[in-house]
Order: sequence, then structure tokens, then C-alpha cells
Amino acid sequence: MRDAIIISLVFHVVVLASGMIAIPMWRDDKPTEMRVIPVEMITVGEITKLRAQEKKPDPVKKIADAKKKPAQRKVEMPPEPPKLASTMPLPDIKSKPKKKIKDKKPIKTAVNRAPRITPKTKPRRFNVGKLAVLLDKREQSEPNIIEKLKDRDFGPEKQISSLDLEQQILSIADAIDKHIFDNQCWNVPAGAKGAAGLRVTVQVRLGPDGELIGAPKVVQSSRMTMPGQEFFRTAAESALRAVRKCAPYDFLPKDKYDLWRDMEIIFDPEHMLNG
Amino acid sequence: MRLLKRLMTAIAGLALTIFSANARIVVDVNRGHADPLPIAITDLVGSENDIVSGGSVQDYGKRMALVVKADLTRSGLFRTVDSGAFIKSGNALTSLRNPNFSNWKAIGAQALMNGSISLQEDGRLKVEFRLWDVLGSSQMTGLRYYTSPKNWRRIAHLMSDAIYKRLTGESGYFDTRVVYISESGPATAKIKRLAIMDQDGYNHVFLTTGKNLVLTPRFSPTAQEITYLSYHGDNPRVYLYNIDSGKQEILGDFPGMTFAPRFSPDGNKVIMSQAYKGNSDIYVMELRTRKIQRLTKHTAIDTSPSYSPDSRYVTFNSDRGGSQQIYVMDADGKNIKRISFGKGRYSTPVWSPRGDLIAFTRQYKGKFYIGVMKPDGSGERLLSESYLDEGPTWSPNGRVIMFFRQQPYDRQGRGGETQLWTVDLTGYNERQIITPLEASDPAWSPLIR
Repeated sequence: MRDAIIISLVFHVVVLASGMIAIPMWRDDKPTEMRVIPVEMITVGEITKLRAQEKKPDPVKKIADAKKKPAQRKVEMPPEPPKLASTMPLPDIKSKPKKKIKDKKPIKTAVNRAPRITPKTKPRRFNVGKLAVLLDKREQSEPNIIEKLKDRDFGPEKQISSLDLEQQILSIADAIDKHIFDNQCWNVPAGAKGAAGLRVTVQVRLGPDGELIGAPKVVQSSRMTMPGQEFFRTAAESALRAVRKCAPYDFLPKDKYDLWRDMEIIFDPEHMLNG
Repeated sequence: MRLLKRLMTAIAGLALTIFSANARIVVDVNRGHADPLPIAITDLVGSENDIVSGGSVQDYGKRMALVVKADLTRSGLFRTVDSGAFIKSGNALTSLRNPNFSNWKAIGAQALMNGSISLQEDGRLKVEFRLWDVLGSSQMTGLRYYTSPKNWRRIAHLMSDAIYKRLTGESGYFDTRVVYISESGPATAKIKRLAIMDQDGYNHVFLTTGKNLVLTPRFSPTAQEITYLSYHGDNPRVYLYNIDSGKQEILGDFPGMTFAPRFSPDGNKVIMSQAYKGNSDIYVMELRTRKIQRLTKHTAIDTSPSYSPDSRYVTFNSDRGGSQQIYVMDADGKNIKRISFGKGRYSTPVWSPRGDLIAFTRQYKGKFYIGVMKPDGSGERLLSESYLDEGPTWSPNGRVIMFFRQQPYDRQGRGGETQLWTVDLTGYNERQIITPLEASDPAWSPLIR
């Protein structure tokens, strides 16, 4: 009887947990999670430009707190929150973070920066589900996390906003994009017909030193060998060449290795070929 | 309580596992560069002791590598790495199958072609090459050819085509020929001869003597056959000339003046314009039955017809709207639509073999331009500009346009030379094709099978 109750309880909890956590992930493409965009834009742009500067404590969290985010955007975190909190080098913001908020109207700033940031932000489709994913990454790097969770009885932990992590992710993504462009790693396949179908996603795994681990993989790699898909194969090979030529990615923040160990780089030649 | 703790831990672990598959940063890269791909072309390794007519096998290997380099460089899509930078390591023959990729990467090569050439007992050359992805450390393609030594240039062009296709995804255009009108003599009495050459200007041959005026040669898209116009007295006739057999036949005598004959994509019809009693319209002739069908009937001048590659449409040039513009109609002459609306005059529309563009000549404010537009008239781009650019013809892969350019005359009446030029669809890669004499009215062949 007692076992039956326990089993019943387990299944109920599993179903409920799956529903609570996984369903938002399935709604990946819904744009409702993009409400935080204006604030992100300000931060990401500055982080990207200043990524080589000295690392300082994080002012972004303060900004985020000042904005009084809704409760549903806060997520329970595992231990050692200071490591997880945003520590991206943000000296410029750090110097006068609050003044910046006062001086600049966020919406106006966002509009000014929109041509550069908006198209990059939207496809990332960040949501709360992905935050949990990132926590999982951390767990993989520290195998004893489950033990820690167990020992602490799931007591209240320091909370971190989804905004902080999203800012870090966007900053890293932006830095990689800039690195690939500045180093002229990606040579767009010229003259291909049907550029719209030539979007290539490459899965990359990096070591802590920023070197590639294993061969980068093309999602839909089976399409590369199909007859009549020569232009896709060319596009995919140009993407692979770009990823390899640009290695190592040693400029990425070492303390955020968990975030950039695995990533997907999407190469889309449409603007180049049609523009 | 302890059991509950374990269960909760297990559930947390499960949840983390569920998400681990998506735990990735996603980087969107939509800014790239359009630089030529750096490729290293090595000489084909061959014996210097085996001698065939014209040099040693080793010499042939070097010459073929030079032809491949020239082909790829001229396309504008590749930059060949200077052979002076090559790092030599190990045995030349063993490195053919196991290139030292780090050495090639170190000198900036992203692709590598190497290969060998040897003399067979039957006197033929055996040529094999491999194309390598330097950054990926893998072979991309490898091919072997057997040929008579006299065909060495053609084999080199076939190798260029294979490399081009493997690296760009589209067919090459190097194993092709160009027929054109060779011109010599003073402007008032020019001798015009039909001539043919490889697309790079080599293997040049005159096909006619120059006794009769020849105009508008056009290649059949399916065979090594040319249609052209030649005058006998005052009567223009459309001729068919088979390059392989040298056989020439009259397609027909037409009433009035016949202009601009051009094959249909299947090679079974010739579309042309005919002027009769001062009015020019479009006609099409079945080559098998010699049956003629009239496609347009208008008081305006309709000329320069060209089929779409699917044979469903015809583009032509007409002044029915008041000025010379480009029109598209169904292959039966119905649904005529004007597609060019820019300033100046548009002429000589030619549908790309790929079907996505129409090349044309535009004349505006005393200058001539070669340009392209989509078949609906949108996306017009001008690729070349000069005193006089005329007569566009497409490479069989629809990526390069050849045309002729005339230099301006000076005050003493000197100048006016005509030459052949190519430009690719980017408009940045404009190159002259060297011909023995002046040249005009080029027509590009399909790939030689």
C-alpha cells in the first residue's frame, strides 16, 4: 500500500514536473518571451564591444532588480549562485550603471540599436526552458551537483534572473559572430541558386581552451549527399570551413565555459546572396 | 522522507537530462565575405624520362596544372596560392594520397588539388587528380582520365570543371568553346569570318574563308552545331554548320531579310525574326519538318527572340511601346508583356540557361551596358559599361556572360577595334578574351560531351 502511494506520487510528480518545465520549451518559437528585449539590447551591444576589458562585479543584476521583473521570470537555482550570476565584463556599465538607466530612456536606446541587434535577438528564441537547460550544463561540468541538491533539502537559494543569463548568452553569441566576420572566416558560397534553402546549422563542441573538440557537425548532414542538393552541400562545407578556420575560440570567457561548450552556429547566406 | 528525497533528486536529474539536448548557445551568422576561395594547385607528378610529342610527361603535368590554375582564377571564385609558398615535405608521390594538411593550412590554402600523370603502353596519357578539403583534412573528389596527348588541354578543362562543380555546387563551363565573328581589314570593307576557339582563347580555328559576309552565329544547346546567317549577294540565308563533321547546310531561303536566328533549348527549332515589306516579326521553324510558324504580328519591329530554358516562353525586343524595350511572351506568341521600363533603349535579350535571369544590352546617354534582370523585369543590374558593349551570350552554367566591346573612334577615325570580354554575375570580374584578330558577336557552346 505504501509502495503504491509512493509510486503514484512519483508518477504524479514526474508528469507535473514535465508539464511545468518542458511545455514552455515546446513553445520555443512563440514570441511572448521577447518582452525583455529592450533591456537586453543595451547590455549586449556594450558587452560585445568591451569584451576584452577587465572583469568586474556584475551591475546588470542590479539593473534587472531595479526593473522589478515579474516573479515568473525568476528561477530556482542550484548552489553557488555567485558563479552563475552574470559576471561578464561590463566595465562601462559598471562605472555608472544607475545613471545610465536614468539618463537613457531604454526604449529610445533600443530603437537606436535596433538595426544591429534585433535580427540577432529574435532567432535565439530564449525562454525559461532554456535557462533550465543552462543550469543543466552547469550540472554536467560539476558531477556532484545532484548530491548537493540532495543535501540541501532544496532550501531557498539565491535567485538569478533569466535576463542575466540571456545577456551572457547573447554576448557570447554576438562575440562569436563578430569573430567570424572580423577574421573573414566565412566565405559565402557565390552564385548559388535558391539561397533561401541554404541555411546551415553547425553543431560545435569546444574545449576550455576554445579549440574544437571533434569535427563540427552539420544538422541535416544527410542532405549533403543527396543528388540535386549540391548547393546545400557547398553551403554546408563553407560553414564547416568557417568554423574550422576561426578556431580556436580562445577569447570566450573561461568562467562561462559551461555556457559555450556546446553551441549551434547558423550560417544563413540569404542576405548576402540576395542583397 | 529519505525515499522522497531520493525521488525528488531523481526527478531533478530527469528534468536536467530532458533539457540537456537543447543546451546550446545559438549563433546566427548572416554576414560573410565573398572572397575567392584560396586553392593550391600542384603540378601533376610525372616522369621526366617519358617523352611524348611536345615534351616529357612531367612537362605535360606542369602545363595541365597551369591551365587548371588559369581556368579557376579567371572564374573569379578562386585564388590560386602561389606555388613559391608551397612547403615541400616527404616524397612527392606518397604525399599525393596523404597530403600534409597542416603545411597547406599554414600557407592559407583551403582546398588542394594534386595528382599524377603517366604514359601508358598504348601511347595514351593517364591523368588522375584528387581534390582535398584542407581544413577538414578529407578528400572531396578524385578522378582519372585516359587520353591522347594532343587532348591534354581538354583534360585540364575537364579537371577544372570537376573542381569548380565540387566546390561551388554548380556545373563548370571550362570544357566549352566559343564561336564568333573574326574581323579584319578597314572599317569600310571588313572581312568577317566565322571562327571557333576554346573558351580561354586557345585552339583557334577559322571556319569560313571570309568570302561571304557572316553574322550572328549561335550554338545549338544540345549539339556541337551552329546556326548563322550568311549573305549570298543580297540574300541572307540561315545556315546550319556541324562542327564535328564540318558539314554545312542551308536551313532555308526566306522571303525578305532574316535576322538573329537562335536555337530552341531542345535544339529542334530555330527562332528568328524576319523583315518583310518593312515590317519585322518573330517566326519559328521546326528543323525536322522545316515548317514555319509566325509568333508576332505587329506593325512595330520585333526582333532578337530567345527561348526560356523550359521552352515555355520567348523573350524578344520590340519598339511597339514607342522605344526599344524587352518583352516576354508565351512560346505560342500569346500573353505579350513588357518587362523593361528603365530609361534608354534595351535590346538583345538572352535567357540564361539557368532560367533565372535575362541578359540584355542597354543604351543610355551615349553609353552601352550589359545587364541582367529577372524574367518578370525586376532586379535589373548593370554588369558592364563602355562606349559600346553588345551581344551578350551566356556560359552554359549561367554564371558568366561573354560580349563584344568596341573601342571609340578618335577624331582621325582611328580606333573602333572590337574585342571579346567576359563578365560574371557579380560585375566585378571583367576579363578580355584574346583573339588573333578583332572579334565580335560571340556565342558560347554548351559543355562538350
